[in-house]
Amino acid sequence: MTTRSSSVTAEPAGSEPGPGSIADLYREVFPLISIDAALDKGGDVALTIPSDAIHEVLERGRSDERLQMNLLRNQTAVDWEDRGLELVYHLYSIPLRQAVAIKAWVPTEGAVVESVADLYQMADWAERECREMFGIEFIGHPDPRNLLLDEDIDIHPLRKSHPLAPIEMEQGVDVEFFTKQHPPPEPEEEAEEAAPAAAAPTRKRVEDMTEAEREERRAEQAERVARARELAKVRRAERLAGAPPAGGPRPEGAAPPPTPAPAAATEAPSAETAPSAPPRDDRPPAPPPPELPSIPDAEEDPEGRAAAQAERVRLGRELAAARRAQLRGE
Amino acid sequence: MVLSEFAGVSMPDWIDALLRVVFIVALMTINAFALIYLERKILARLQARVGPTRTGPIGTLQSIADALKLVTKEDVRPITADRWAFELAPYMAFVPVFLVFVPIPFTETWFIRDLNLGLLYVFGVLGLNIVGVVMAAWGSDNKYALLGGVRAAAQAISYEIPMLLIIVAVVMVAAGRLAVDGDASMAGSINAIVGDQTTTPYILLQPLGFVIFMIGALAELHRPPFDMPIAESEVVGGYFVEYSGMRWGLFFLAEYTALFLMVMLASSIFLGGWNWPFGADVGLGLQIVLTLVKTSVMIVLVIGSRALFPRLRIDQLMAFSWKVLLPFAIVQVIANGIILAYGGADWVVGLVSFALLAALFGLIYQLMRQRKGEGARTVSTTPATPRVITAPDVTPVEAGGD
Amino acid sequence: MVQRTFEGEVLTEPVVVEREFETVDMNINIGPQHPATHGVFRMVLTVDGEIVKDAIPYIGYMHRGGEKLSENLDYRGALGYQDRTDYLAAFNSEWVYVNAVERLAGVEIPERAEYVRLILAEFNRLLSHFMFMGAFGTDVGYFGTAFTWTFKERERIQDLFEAVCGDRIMYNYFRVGGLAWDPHETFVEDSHWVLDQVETGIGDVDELMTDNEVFVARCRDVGVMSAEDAISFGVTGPMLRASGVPFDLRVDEPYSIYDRFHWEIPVGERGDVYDRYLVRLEEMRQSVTILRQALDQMPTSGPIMPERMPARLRPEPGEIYMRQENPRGEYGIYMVSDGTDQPWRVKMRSPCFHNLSSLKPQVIGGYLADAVVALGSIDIVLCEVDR
Repeated sequence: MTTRSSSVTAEPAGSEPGPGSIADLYREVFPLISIDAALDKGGDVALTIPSDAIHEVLERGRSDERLQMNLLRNQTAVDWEDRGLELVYHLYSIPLRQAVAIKAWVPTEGAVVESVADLYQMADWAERECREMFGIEFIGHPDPRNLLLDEDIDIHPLRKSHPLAPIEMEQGVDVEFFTKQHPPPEPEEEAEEAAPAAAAPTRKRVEDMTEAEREERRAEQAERVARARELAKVRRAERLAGAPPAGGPRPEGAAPPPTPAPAAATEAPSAETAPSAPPRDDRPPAPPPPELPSIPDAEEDPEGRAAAQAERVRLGRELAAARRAQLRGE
Repeated sequence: MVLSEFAGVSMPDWIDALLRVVFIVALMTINAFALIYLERKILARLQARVGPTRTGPIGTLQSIADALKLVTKEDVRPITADRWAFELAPYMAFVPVFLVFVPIPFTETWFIRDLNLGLLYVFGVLGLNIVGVVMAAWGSDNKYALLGGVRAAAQAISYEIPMLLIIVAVVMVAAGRLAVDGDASMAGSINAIVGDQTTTPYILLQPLGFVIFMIGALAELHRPPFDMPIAESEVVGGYFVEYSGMRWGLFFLAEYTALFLMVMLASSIFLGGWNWPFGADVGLGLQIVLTLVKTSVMIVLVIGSRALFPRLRIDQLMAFSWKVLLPFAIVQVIANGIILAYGGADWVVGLVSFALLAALFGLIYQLMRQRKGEGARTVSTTPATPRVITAPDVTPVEAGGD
Repeated sequence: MVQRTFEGEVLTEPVVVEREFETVDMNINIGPQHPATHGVFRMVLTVDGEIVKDAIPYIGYMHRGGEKLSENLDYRGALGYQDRTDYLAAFNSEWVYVNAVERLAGVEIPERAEYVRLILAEFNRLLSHFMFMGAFGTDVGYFGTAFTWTFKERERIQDLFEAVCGDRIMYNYFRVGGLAWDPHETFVEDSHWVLDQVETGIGDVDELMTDNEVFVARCRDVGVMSAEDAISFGVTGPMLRASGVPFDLRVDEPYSIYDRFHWEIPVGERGDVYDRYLVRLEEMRQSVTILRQALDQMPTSGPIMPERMPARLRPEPGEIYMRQENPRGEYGIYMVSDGTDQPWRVKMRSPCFHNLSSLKPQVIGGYLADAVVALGSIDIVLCEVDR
């Protein structure tokens, strides 16, 4: 590891590290594994290896006395969309003071990697996080539960195909469901209430309820939750059905599911507003999914890549504006 | 005799006793208010704060405000609680503490009743206190409460034994002295013990006894460093975690009354209670002042310990009681027996007790030094050269060894 | 063994079943609301009486998706999230982030800005450690004394920060390339005065806690972690140094201008809770040493931002893993740029996350009260664990 000073000398990305660096050491220790080396902007060496060699490289790297990589300081992944996921392990040798990053490419969907939790106990939690955030399965992990997310959520929020805007809907929070709780009672309910006063008041404090009423309330709540889950599942299936092949960009066409106007939720629940709320079908249809240009590889066509990215950003902005307009009911 | 002495009114004995009981209950309730205020202020000073200032002049009405808040608060009972155990527990904790005041002398003639077996009565009745605590712990149907209650029970059992043994040692000395110029059969009476300390307070004769008694008292009162039954950071308040409103207030009333009681007992038995030091004779009016002054000084010490000590662990507390305090108490009893049997003088008793006390402190110091070991060493930085680290010599430690 | 028979059948030895009084292990749920969990951390302890048999930690109550949010903001906009990860060492976290962006974009920083950053970060280390002393004292059982004594000094440091950047907790003062504005005129004198107070405060804490018999009894040989285990768990910072490994990023991978000062790394021997306390106490003294030197060396005037800064940062495609020594350990920002004005990936490597993962083996086999002390000695900030 080179000594860092306060003045920064940015190295060009992807440049091959010089001779005598840790990349050569790794190539010496693992002659049979193909290792691509690159320098990152902090002066660290990043080695790209096949994903099925991760466990071996980390294991030997830990025990080999020339490497002695005893500290796994960071483990994460990067979603490169159509190129798949890039697993990153940042290793450090406390005795020899050398740092290295080990990288490996895995497919976005159905990635399976051997767990290194038996080598570094640190990987126990790190892999759990990586699993829930990117959907990478780690074979041999002792406790593959969700760590930061709720235990029964199986979405992968750090993937690029998971945009920020409709996150709530992806998580099963049904906006329509919540807006339905607050508008004024629907006509048939009103009719029921207008009928003899024997009908119980709609709002009753829980502690005033009898046991039977509590039961009823619980059942009602359970039913609502089940309905919301059902809806969320349907939405998810819809989106998944409309999704392009794995690793592609976010399926824009499916993204804005028929959302109710949020205005209806915020308005005061008076009797007049409810019927006047625009029915869903009246709103303009969702903008058609634009054709996104594919991003060429940086080494082959840098200008084309930049242009394609700029184009994607522009399209994304347009789409977001359209979506906002749609949500406003314009 | 209270009124008959001060106002010259004569009345039947039972009315007199009743009046005294009422007087004690009223006094102790006010006393709890005063103690809470005192504790807040003393703690605040020790913690670089100012404490209550807003309610009344320099915050003197803070306790009243607290009490009003407690009275008006909703009395919550968990739905799964054992109803009778939960609701009766505060009274079970509260009544014994007040009962104990029967034989405590405020002045030479100022007590509810002078009991021949006063000391035995005190510890017998005070032990009932723990029943209320365990009832609260069990009745709350809360795991923290249960842990706290079990801790409290274990702690009470462990610390009453050395305390009682020390009382035995004190009674032995008192009996020996009373046999000379009084009635040795009254050696169990607290008033007789206080009366015997006109020239020599018992702290000079039994310093070890005083120290062990105070440590035991802290443990009985759940005061730091022995407050694990109510440890906030572990069991979140312990056995009264589910209590609110006045039931919680009753626990606190009991606690502060018990604090006053224990300290009063210590000042009576070891510091000479209403006696002026070294035999000066003062009137009854000053006797009560003397009693209260001695008590107050000790109260300040007890309250101060709350700011200055962290909390021991339950096994360390047990080990300290059974492995350190109990052997010393037994040795003290045996030594007293031998010395008194051979007619040793008072100064011999005192000297032996002092030696034992020194041994106790030496032992504690030695144990602590062993436990502390070497401090952190510092290494200088060598930024340029890589260095090889050898594995440090860490010996696995058995859990809970003391 | 002689086989006995009866009417042709082999008699077997009667099986003696020893029946003990049956006890049931109890599950105790500590957190998410509990005075000892320093935030919303939950741990389910299985206890046999007072002995902990098993511990299952649950985190994630504070997960706000800061990484995802940072990816959807431009490079400067995401800086505010750094204050909100480790809110007790916000300057340190900000520093890592701006350093990462600067290296990615190749921005030069003026020397004066570098000094001010270092001084504020070291002050923040002091502040964080004072907070640790107070909270840890409360965990061990000081009824508020440790807290109030340490907060007295912490207030002074916060006052200084308020004078410099206008806020007491969420500073948002560092900028990519330098600082938001120059510190106030009497910054150096104020800092020296605060350092005097802080030194007294460190002495107070030392006298209150270090030699207190009960404190020693509670902390010695509790939560012991060997050096190998600590490294394997990715534990860094004072916890790792307490286990005997003199690993400090300020020295081992020197960044900024730490090579201009002389100070020492405290290292513990036993790896227990008491060593962690002692290491942090000594670290505070060393921080004061660094601060004194830095305040003397700091240029009295000069620019605090580079002459030219691009209006929108668009670093070349590339990546960096920037790591620095925070009060709690190695705080890392793994940042990947794709050439646009938003980072493609931001990963925050939070020290507490990995330090906390080592809690389970420290707790099992000890007492319930030890679990609280061991948790306190990790000095967790839940915002940083969950990000």
